[in-house]
Amino acid sequence: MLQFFLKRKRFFFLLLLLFIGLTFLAKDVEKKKQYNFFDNILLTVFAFPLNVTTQSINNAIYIWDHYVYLVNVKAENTRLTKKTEKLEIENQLLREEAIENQRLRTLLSFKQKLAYKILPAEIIGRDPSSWFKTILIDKGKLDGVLRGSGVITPQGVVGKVINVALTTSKVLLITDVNSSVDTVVKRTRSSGILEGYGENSCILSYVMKTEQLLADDTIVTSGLNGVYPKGILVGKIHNLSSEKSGFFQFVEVKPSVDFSKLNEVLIVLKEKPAETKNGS
Amino acid sequence: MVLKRVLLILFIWMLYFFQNHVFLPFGKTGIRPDLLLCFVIYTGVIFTFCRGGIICFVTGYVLEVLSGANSGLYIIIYLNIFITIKLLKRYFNFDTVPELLFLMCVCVVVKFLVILFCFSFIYESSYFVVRQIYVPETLYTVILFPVVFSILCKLYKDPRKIPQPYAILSNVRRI
Repeated sequence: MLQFFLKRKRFFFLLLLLFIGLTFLAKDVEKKKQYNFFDNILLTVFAFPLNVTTQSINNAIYIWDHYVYLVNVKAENTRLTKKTEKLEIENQLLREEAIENQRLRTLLSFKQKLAYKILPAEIIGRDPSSWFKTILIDKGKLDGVLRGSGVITPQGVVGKVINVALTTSKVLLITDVNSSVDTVVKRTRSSGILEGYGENSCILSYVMKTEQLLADDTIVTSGLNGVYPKGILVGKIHNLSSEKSGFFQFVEVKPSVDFSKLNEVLIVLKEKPAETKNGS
Repeated sequence: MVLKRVLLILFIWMLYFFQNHVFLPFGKTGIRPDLLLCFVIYTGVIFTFCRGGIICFVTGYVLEVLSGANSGLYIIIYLNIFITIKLLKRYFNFDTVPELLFLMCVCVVVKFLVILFCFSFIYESSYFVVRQIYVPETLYTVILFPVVFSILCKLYKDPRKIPQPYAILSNVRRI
Protein backbone atom coordinates (compact mmCIF):
# COMPACT_ATOMS: atom_id res chain seq x y z
CA MET A 1 0.00 0.00 0.00
CA LEU A 2 2.75 2.39 1.05
CA GLN A 3 4.72 1.45 -2.04
CA PHE A 4 1.69 2.24 -4.21
CA PHE A 5 1.59 5.78 -2.78
CA LEU A 6 5.37 6.22 -2.91
CA LYS A 7 5.45 5.17 -6.56
CA ARG A 8 2.84 7.77 -7.43
CA LYS A 9 3.87 10.44 -4.94
CA ARG A 10 4.21 13.17 -7.61
CA PHE A 11 0.74 12.45 -8.88
CA PHE A 12 -0.72 12.50 -5.37
CA PHE A 13 1.12 15.75 -4.64
CA LEU A 14 -0.63 17.41 -7.59
CA LEU A 15 -3.92 15.92 -6.45
CA LEU A 16 -3.33 17.43 -3.01
CA LEU A 17 -2.74 20.88 -4.55
CA LEU A 18 -5.90 20.46 -6.62
CA PHE A 19 -7.81 19.47 -3.51
CA ILE A 20 -6.58 22.62 -1.71
CA GLY A 21 -7.80 24.69 -4.67
CA LEU A 22 -11.20 22.99 -4.52
CA THR A 23 -11.36 23.64 -0.77
CA PHE A 24 -10.72 27.35 -1.41
CA LEU A 25 -13.51 27.35 -3.99
CA ALA A 26 -15.91 25.55 -1.67
CA LYS A 27 -15.14 27.94 1.19
CA ASP A 28 -15.63 30.90 -1.15
CA VAL A 29 -19.12 29.69 -2.06
CA GLU A 30 -20.09 29.83 1.61
CA LYS A 31 -18.63 33.23 2.30
CA LYS A 32 -16.75 35.63 0.02
CA LYS A 33 -13.10 35.66 1.04
CA GLN A 34 -11.71 38.53 3.09
CA TYR A 35 -8.12 39.63 2.61
CA ASN A 36 -5.69 37.96 5.02
CA PHE A 37 -2.18 39.06 6.01
CA PHE A 38 -0.49 37.51 2.93
CA ASP A 39 -3.09 38.96 0.58
CA ASN A 40 -2.46 42.41 2.07
CA ILE A 41 1.30 42.07 1.47
CA LEU A 42 0.74 40.81 -2.08
CA LEU A 43 -1.64 43.67 -2.86
CA THR A 44 0.78 46.24 -1.44
CA VAL A 45 3.63 44.85 -3.57
CA PHE A 46 1.52 44.89 -6.73
CA ALA A 47 -0.44 48.08 -6.04
CA PHE A 48 2.57 50.33 -5.42
CA PRO A 49 4.01 50.29 -8.99
CA LEU A 50 0.48 50.42 -10.42
CA ASN A 51 -0.21 53.49 -8.31
CA VAL A 52 3.06 55.18 -9.29
CA THR A 53 2.65 54.60 -13.03
CA THR A 54 -1.04 55.56 -13.02
CA GLN A 55 -0.24 58.79 -11.16
CA SER A 56 2.62 59.58 -13.56
CA ILE A 57 0.50 59.01 -16.64
CA ASN A 58 -2.38 60.99 -15.13
CA ASN A 59 -0.01 63.86 -14.34
CA ALA A 60 1.32 63.81 -17.90
CA ILE A 61 -2.25 63.89 -19.24
CA TYR A 62 -3.08 66.73 -16.83
CA ILE A 63 -0.09 68.78 -18.01
CA TRP A 64 -1.06 68.17 -21.63
CA ASP A 65 -4.68 69.10 -21.04
CA HIS A 66 -4.05 72.17 -18.86
CA TYR A 67 -0.91 73.73 -20.31
CA VAL A 68 -0.36 72.42 -23.82
CA TYR A 69 -3.79 71.76 -25.21
CA LEU A 70 -5.26 75.22 -24.57
CA VAL A 71 -7.08 75.91 -27.80
CA ASN A 72 -10.45 77.69 -27.74
CA VAL A 73 -10.28 78.03 -23.99
CA LYS A 74 -11.58 81.60 -23.90
CA ALA A 75 -14.72 80.78 -25.88
CA GLU A 76 -15.28 77.70 -23.73
CA ASN A 77 -14.78 79.79 -20.60
CA THR A 78 -17.42 82.33 -21.66
CA ARG A 79 -19.88 79.58 -22.48
CA LEU A 80 -19.28 77.83 -19.18
CA THR A 81 -19.56 81.06 -17.18
CA LYS A 82 -22.99 81.67 -18.67
CA LYS A 83 -23.96 78.07 -17.95
CA THR A 84 -22.74 78.37 -14.35
CA GLU A 85 -24.82 81.51 -13.80
CA LYS A 86 -27.88 79.70 -15.07
CA LEU A 87 -27.14 76.66 -12.90
CA GLU A 88 -26.58 78.84 -9.85
CA ILE A 89 -30.08 80.24 -10.15
CA GLU A 90 -31.44 76.72 -10.58
CA ASN A 91 -29.41 75.59 -7.59
CA GLN A 92 -30.83 78.34 -5.40
CA LEU A 93 -34.35 77.34 -6.36
CA LEU A 94 -33.64 73.68 -5.66
CA ARG A 95 -32.06 74.54 -2.33
CA GLU A 96 -35.20 76.34 -1.34
CA GLU A 97 -37.24 73.31 -2.32
CA ALA A 98 -34.90 71.02 -0.36
CA ILE A 99 -35.33 73.14 2.77
CA GLU A 100 -39.07 73.03 2.34
CA ASN A 101 -38.92 69.27 1.78
CA GLN A 102 -36.83 68.83 4.93
CA ARG A 103 -39.29 70.87 6.95
CA LEU A 104 -42.22 68.84 5.68
CA ARG A 105 -40.39 65.57 6.40
CA THR A 106 -39.78 66.68 9.97
CA LEU A 107 -43.39 67.64 10.30
CA LEU A 108 -44.51 64.25 9.12
CA SER A 109 -42.03 62.57 11.53
CA PHE A 110 -40.18 60.89 8.68
CA LYS A 111 -37.26 58.79 9.70
CA GLN A 112 -33.93 60.60 9.36
CA LYS A 113 -32.36 59.60 6.07
CA LEU A 114 -28.95 57.95 6.22
CA ALA A 115 -26.15 60.49 5.92
CA TYR A 116 -23.52 59.73 3.29
CA LYS A 117 -19.95 60.88 3.13
CA ILE A 118 -18.16 60.87 -0.20
CA LEU A 119 -14.51 59.91 -0.61
CA PRO A 120 -12.79 60.43 -3.99
CA ALA A 121 -10.48 57.66 -5.21
CA GLU A 122 -8.37 56.91 -8.24
CA ILE A 123 -8.41 53.70 -10.24
CA ILE A 124 -4.97 52.09 -10.20
CA GLY A 125 -5.72 48.67 -11.67
CA ARG A 126 -8.21 46.61 -13.57
CA ASP A 127 -9.06 42.94 -13.29
CA PRO A 128 -6.21 40.87 -14.73
CA SER A 129 -8.67 38.28 -16.03
CA SER A 130 -11.28 38.96 -18.69
CA TRP A 131 -13.93 36.91 -16.94
CA PHE A 132 -14.53 39.21 -13.99
CA LYS A 133 -15.23 42.94 -13.90
CA THR A 134 -13.42 44.51 -10.96
CA ILE A 135 -11.21 47.55 -10.47
CA LEU A 136 -8.55 48.36 -7.90
CA ILE A 137 -8.74 51.79 -6.24
CA ASP A 138 -6.14 53.66 -4.19
CA LYS A 139 -8.18 54.00 -0.99
CA GLY A 140 -8.41 51.33 1.69
CA LYS A 141 -9.02 50.57 5.33
CA LEU A 142 -6.73 53.42 6.43
CA ASP A 143 -8.96 55.90 4.56
CA GLY A 144 -12.10 54.56 6.21
CA VAL A 145 -13.39 52.44 3.32
CA LEU A 146 -15.69 49.63 4.42
CA ARG A 147 -16.62 46.42 2.65
CA GLY A 148 -19.96 46.91 0.91
CA SER A 149 -19.57 50.65 0.35
CA GLY A 150 -21.13 51.90 -2.87
CA VAL A 151 -18.97 53.44 -5.60
CA ILE A 152 -20.38 56.10 -7.91
CA THR A 153 -19.35 58.86 -10.33
CA PRO A 154 -21.26 61.99 -11.37
CA GLN A 155 -22.38 59.95 -14.42
CA GLY A 156 -23.90 57.16 -12.32
CA VAL A 157 -23.37 53.99 -10.32
CA VAL A 158 -20.05 52.16 -10.76
CA GLY A 159 -20.22 49.26 -8.31
CA LYS A 160 -19.60 48.08 -4.79
CA VAL A 161 -16.48 47.54 -2.65
CA ILE A 162 -16.00 43.79 -2.19
CA ASN A 163 -12.57 43.62 -0.57
CA VAL A 164 -10.64 46.16 1.48
CA ALA A 165 -6.87 46.06 2.03
CA LEU A 166 -4.90 48.63 4.01
CA THR A 167 -4.30 51.09 1.18
CA THR A 168 -6.34 49.64 -1.67
CA SER A 169 -9.83 48.29 -2.28
CA LYS A 170 -11.39 46.07 -4.89
CA VAL A 171 -14.63 47.23 -6.52
CA LEU A 172 -17.06 44.88 -8.24
CA LEU A 173 -18.52 46.70 -11.27
CA ILE A 174 -22.24 46.57 -11.98
CA THR A 175 -21.45 44.83 -15.28
CA ASP A 176 -20.01 41.78 -13.48
CA VAL A 177 -22.30 38.75 -13.47
CA ASN A 178 -22.00 38.50 -9.68
CA SER A 179 -23.27 42.05 -9.18
CA SER A 180 -26.84 42.99 -8.26
CA VAL A 181 -28.28 46.42 -7.52
CA ASP A 182 -31.77 47.23 -6.30
CA THR A 183 -33.21 49.71 -8.80
CA VAL A 184 -36.40 51.36 -10.01
CA VAL A 185 -37.51 52.65 -13.40
CA LYS A 186 -37.77 56.41 -12.93
CA ARG A 187 -40.90 56.91 -15.07
CA THR A 188 -43.04 54.00 -13.91
CA ARG A 189 -41.44 53.32 -10.48
CA SER A 190 -41.29 49.61 -11.39
CA SER A 191 -38.66 47.94 -9.27
CA GLY A 192 -36.15 45.34 -10.42
CA ILE A 193 -32.74 43.89 -9.70
CA LEU A 194 -30.00 45.09 -12.03
CA GLU A 195 -27.52 42.30 -12.79
CA GLY A 196 -24.31 42.31 -14.81
CA TYR A 197 -24.46 40.93 -18.33
CA GLY A 198 -20.90 41.07 -19.59
CA GLU A 199 -19.24 43.78 -21.63
CA ASN A 200 -20.76 47.15 -20.71
CA SER A 201 -24.27 45.77 -20.40
CA CYS A 202 -26.72 44.80 -17.62
CA ILE A 203 -30.12 43.19 -17.37
CA LEU A 204 -33.01 44.29 -15.22
CA SER A 205 -34.44 41.15 -13.68
CA TYR A 206 -37.80 40.43 -12.07
CA VAL A 207 -39.77 43.08 -13.97
CA MET A 208 -43.31 41.84 -14.54
CA LYS A 209 -44.61 41.64 -18.11
CA THR A 210 -47.50 43.86 -17.09
CA GLU A 211 -45.14 46.81 -16.55
CA GLN A 212 -45.27 49.21 -19.48
CA LEU A 213 -41.61 49.97 -20.03
CA LEU A 214 -40.14 51.81 -22.99
CA ALA A 215 -36.71 51.94 -24.60
CA ASP A 216 -34.60 54.80 -23.20
CA ASP A 217 -36.43 54.73 -19.85
CA THR A 218 -34.06 55.81 -17.08
CA ILE A 219 -33.09 53.40 -14.30
CA VAL A 220 -32.12 54.82 -10.91
CA THR A 221 -31.13 53.31 -7.56
CA SER A 222 -33.96 52.58 -5.16
CA GLY A 223 -31.87 53.34 -2.07
CA LEU A 224 -33.44 50.35 -0.31
CA ASN A 225 -30.28 48.43 0.55
CA GLY A 226 -28.46 51.44 1.96
CA VAL A 227 -25.44 50.92 -0.29
CA TYR A 228 -26.23 53.71 -2.77
CA PRO A 229 -28.14 56.92 -2.11
CA LYS A 230 -31.63 56.95 -3.56
CA GLY A 231 -32.11 58.23 -7.13
CA ILE A 232 -28.58 57.82 -8.47
CA LEU A 233 -28.57 57.23 -12.22
CA VAL A 234 -27.72 53.68 -13.25
CA GLY A 235 -28.46 53.55 -16.96
CA LYS A 236 -31.06 53.51 -19.71
CA ILE A 237 -33.13 50.70 -21.14
CA HIS A 238 -31.49 49.53 -24.34
CA ASN A 239 -33.46 46.48 -25.36
CA LEU A 240 -36.86 45.10 -24.32
CA SER A 241 -38.48 41.74 -24.95
CA SER A 242 -41.56 39.98 -23.60
CA GLU A 243 -41.33 37.01 -25.93
CA LYS A 244 -39.84 34.58 -23.39
CA SER A 245 -42.28 32.47 -21.43
CA GLY A 246 -42.75 33.27 -17.76
CA PHE A 247 -43.86 36.20 -15.67
CA PHE A 248 -40.94 38.52 -16.28
CA GLN A 249 -39.76 40.49 -19.28
CA PHE A 250 -36.21 40.68 -20.61
CA VAL A 251 -34.85 44.20 -20.10
CA GLU A 252 -31.31 45.02 -21.23
CA VAL A 253 -29.83 48.16 -19.68
CA LYS A 254 -26.90 50.21 -20.93
CA PRO A 255 -25.02 51.68 -17.93
CA SER A 256 -24.67 55.45 -17.87
CA VAL A 257 -21.02 55.13 -16.90
CA ASP A 258 -18.50 54.38 -19.63
CA PHE A 259 -16.28 51.93 -17.75
CA SER A 260 -13.54 52.09 -20.37
CA LYS A 261 -13.00 55.81 -19.69
CA LEU A 262 -13.22 55.59 -15.93
CA ASN A 263 -10.29 57.16 -14.05
CA GLU A 264 -11.70 58.52 -10.81
CA VAL A 265 -14.60 57.38 -8.65
CA LEU A 266 -16.42 58.44 -5.50
CA ILE A 267 -16.84 56.03 -2.60
CA VAL A 268 -20.08 56.38 -0.65
CA LEU A 269 -19.13 55.98 3.00
CA LYS A 270 -21.94 55.23 5.33
CA GLU A 271 -22.07 57.36 8.46
CA LYS A 272 -23.97 56.56 11.59
CA PRO A 273 -27.44 58.09 11.36
CA ALA A 274 -27.85 61.19 13.50
CA GLU A 275 -29.58 60.32 16.72
CA THR A 276 -32.78 62.14 17.55
CA LYS A 277 -33.39 63.79 20.86
CA ASN A 278 -35.38 60.92 22.30
CA GLY A 279 -32.52 58.55 21.42
CA SER A 280 -34.37 56.52 18.81
CA MET B 1 21.81 31.01 -12.35
CA VAL B 2 20.61 33.02 -9.34
CA LEU B 3 20.48 36.16 -11.46
CA LYS B 4 18.45 34.31 -14.08
CA ARG B 5 15.99 33.17 -11.43
CA VAL B 6 15.64 36.73 -10.18
CA LEU B 7 15.09 37.91 -13.74
CA LEU B 8 12.45 35.22 -14.24
CA ILE B 9 10.60 36.31 -11.08
CA LEU B 10 10.80 39.94 -12.20
CA PHE B 11 9.41 38.99 -15.60
CA ILE B 12 6.49 37.11 -14.02
CA TRP B 13 5.86 40.15 -11.85
CA MET B 14 5.85 42.24 -15.05
CA LEU B 15 3.27 39.88 -16.57
CA TYR B 16 0.97 40.51 -13.58
CA PHE B 17 1.69 44.23 -13.85
CA PHE B 18 0.80 44.31 -17.57
CA GLN B 19 -2.39 42.37 -17.01
CA ASN B 20 -3.50 44.60 -14.18
CA HIS B 21 -2.59 48.01 -15.57
CA VAL B 22 -5.26 50.57 -16.42
CA PHE B 23 -3.55 52.18 -19.37
CA LEU B 24 -2.88 49.20 -21.58
CA PRO B 25 -4.71 49.17 -24.93
CA PHE B 26 -6.48 45.88 -24.32
CA GLY B 27 -7.33 47.00 -20.78
CA LYS B 28 -9.78 49.58 -22.08
CA THR B 29 -11.94 46.98 -23.80
CA GLY B 30 -12.04 44.80 -20.70
CA ILE B 31 -10.72 41.76 -22.58
CA ARG B 32 -7.05 41.02 -22.12
CA PRO B 33 -4.77 38.13 -23.00
CA ASP B 34 -4.00 35.53 -20.37
CA LEU B 35 -0.25 36.11 -20.25
CA LEU B 36 0.01 33.90 -17.20
CA LEU B 37 -1.36 30.99 -19.20
CA CYS B 38 1.76 31.29 -21.36
CA PHE B 39 3.82 31.10 -18.17
CA VAL B 40 1.90 28.04 -16.96
CA ILE B 41 2.53 26.30 -20.31
CA TYR B 42 6.21 27.17 -20.01
CA THR B 43 6.20 25.76 -16.46
CA GLY B 44 4.59 22.55 -17.68
CA VAL B 45 7.21 22.12 -20.40
CA ILE B 46 10.29 23.08 -18.36
CA PHE B 47 9.72 22.32 -14.69
CA THR B 48 9.31 19.05 -12.81
CA PHE B 49 6.07 17.73 -11.30
CA CYS B 50 6.49 19.12 -7.77
CA ARG B 51 8.18 22.43 -8.53
CA GLY B 52 5.88 23.14 -11.48
CA GLY B 53 2.81 22.22 -9.43
CA ILE B 54 3.76 24.63 -6.66
CA ILE B 55 4.54 27.41 -9.17
CA CYS B 56 1.14 26.94 -10.88
CA PHE B 57 -0.59 26.95 -7.49
CA VAL B 58 1.11 30.22 -6.45
CA THR B 59 0.48 31.80 -9.89
CA GLY B 60 -3.23 31.04 -9.62
CA TYR B 61 -3.42 32.24 -6.02
CA VAL B 62 -1.78 35.60 -6.76
CA LEU B 63 -4.08 36.13 -9.75
CA GLU B 64 -7.09 35.48 -7.54
CA VAL B 65 -5.92 38.05 -4.99
CA LEU B 66 -5.55 40.68 -7.71
CA SER B 67 -8.71 39.76 -9.57
CA GLY B 68 -12.37 39.51 -8.63
CA ALA B 69 -12.26 35.78 -9.28
CA ASN B 70 -13.56 33.31 -6.72
CA SER B 71 -10.76 31.88 -4.61
CA GLY B 72 -9.50 28.59 -5.93
CA LEU B 73 -10.78 29.06 -9.47
CA TYR B 74 -7.49 29.97 -11.12
CA ILE B 75 -5.59 27.49 -8.95
CA ILE B 76 -7.81 24.73 -10.35
CA ILE B 77 -7.55 26.04 -13.93
CA TYR B 78 -3.76 26.31 -13.92
CA LEU B 79 -3.23 23.01 -12.11
CA ASN B 80 -5.50 21.22 -14.59
CA ILE B 81 -3.54 22.75 -17.47
CA PHE B 82 -0.28 21.71 -15.82
CA ILE B 83 -1.51 18.13 -15.32
CA THR B 84 -2.68 18.01 -18.96
CA ILE B 85 0.76 19.14 -20.16
CA LYS B 86 2.45 16.52 -18.00
CA LEU B 87 0.16 13.82 -19.40
CA LEU B 88 0.82 14.97 -22.96
CA LYS B 89 4.56 14.99 -22.32
CA ARG B 90 4.44 11.20 -22.30
CA TYR B 91 3.69 11.31 -26.02
CA PHE B 92 5.24 14.62 -27.18
CA ASN B 93 8.51 16.39 -26.48
CA PHE B 94 7.22 19.87 -27.34
CA ASP B 95 10.47 20.80 -29.00
CA THR B 96 9.04 21.94 -32.32
CA VAL B 97 6.86 24.91 -33.23
CA PRO B 98 3.82 22.83 -34.39
CA GLU B 99 3.92 20.79 -31.18
CA LEU B 100 4.03 23.94 -29.04
CA LEU B 101 1.13 25.46 -30.99
CA PHE B 102 -0.81 22.23 -30.56
CA LEU B 103 -0.07 22.39 -26.82
CA MET B 104 -1.29 25.99 -26.70
CA CYS B 105 -4.56 24.98 -28.39
CA VAL B 106 -5.07 22.07 -25.98
CA CYS B 107 -4.41 24.37 -22.99
CA VAL B 108 -6.92 27.02 -24.05
CA VAL B 109 -9.51 24.29 -24.57
CA VAL B 110 -8.79 22.85 -21.10
CA LYS B 111 -9.09 26.32 -19.59
CA PHE B 112 -12.37 26.87 -21.37
CA LEU B 113 -13.81 23.55 -20.21
CA VAL B 114 -12.89 24.20 -16.57
CA ILE B 115 -14.26 27.75 -16.71
CA LEU B 116 -17.42 26.64 -18.47
CA PHE B 117 -17.98 23.99 -15.81
CA CYS B 118 -17.43 26.48 -12.97
CA PHE B 119 -19.46 29.22 -14.64
CA SER B 120 -22.35 27.03 -15.70
CA PHE B 121 -23.93 28.00 -12.40
CA ILE B 122 -23.48 31.72 -13.14
CA TYR B 123 -23.96 32.32 -16.87
CA GLU B 124 -27.28 31.42 -18.46
CA SER B 125 -25.97 31.48 -22.00
CA SER B 126 -22.67 29.84 -22.89
CA TYR B 127 -22.90 31.47 -26.32
CA PHE B 128 -22.46 34.86 -24.66
CA VAL B 129 -19.37 33.60 -22.80
CA VAL B 130 -17.82 32.19 -25.95
CA ARG B 131 -18.50 35.17 -28.21
CA GLN B 132 -17.81 38.05 -25.86
CA ILE B 133 -14.97 36.78 -23.68
CA TYR B 134 -13.45 33.46 -24.70
CA VAL B 135 -12.80 34.08 -28.42
CA PRO B 136 -11.12 37.51 -28.10
CA GLU B 137 -9.16 36.44 -25.01
CA THR B 138 -7.89 33.29 -26.76
CA LEU B 139 -7.00 35.27 -29.87
CA TYR B 140 -4.95 37.80 -27.90
CA THR B 141 -3.28 35.01 -25.92
CA VAL B 142 -2.36 32.95 -28.99
CA ILE B 143 -0.89 36.03 -30.69
CA LEU B 144 1.27 36.89 -27.68
CA PHE B 145 2.20 33.31 -26.75
CA PRO B 146 5.32 33.00 -28.99
CA VAL B 147 6.68 36.31 -27.69
CA VAL B 148 6.15 35.53 -23.99
CA PHE B 149 7.36 31.95 -24.40
CA SER B 150 10.54 33.03 -26.19
CA ILE B 151 11.32 35.62 -23.51
CA LEU B 152 10.74 33.05 -20.76
CA CYS B 153 13.03 30.55 -22.50
CA LYS B 154 15.71 33.21 -22.88
CA LEU B 155 15.47 34.23 -19.23
CA TYR B 156 15.51 30.80 -17.66
CA LYS B 157 16.35 27.64 -19.49
CA ASP B 158 17.35 24.21 -18.37
CA PRO B 159 20.25 23.19 -20.67
CA ARG B 160 18.79 19.70 -21.06
CA LYS B 161 15.34 20.98 -21.94
CA ILE B 162 15.78 23.85 -24.34
CA PRO B 163 12.69 23.94 -26.57
CA GLN B 164 13.64 23.57 -30.22
CA PRO B 165 11.90 26.75 -31.46
CA TYR B 166 14.05 28.81 -29.15
CA ALA B 167 17.20 26.97 -30.24
CA ILE B 168 16.31 27.64 -33.89
CA LEU B 169 15.78 31.33 -33.13
CA SER B 170 19.13 31.53 -31.33
CA ASN B 171 20.95 29.92 -34.28
CA VAL B 172 19.32 32.29 -36.76
CA ARG B 173 20.46 35.23 -34.66
CA ARG B 174 24.02 33.87 -34.57
CA ILE B 175 24.08 33.45 -38.36
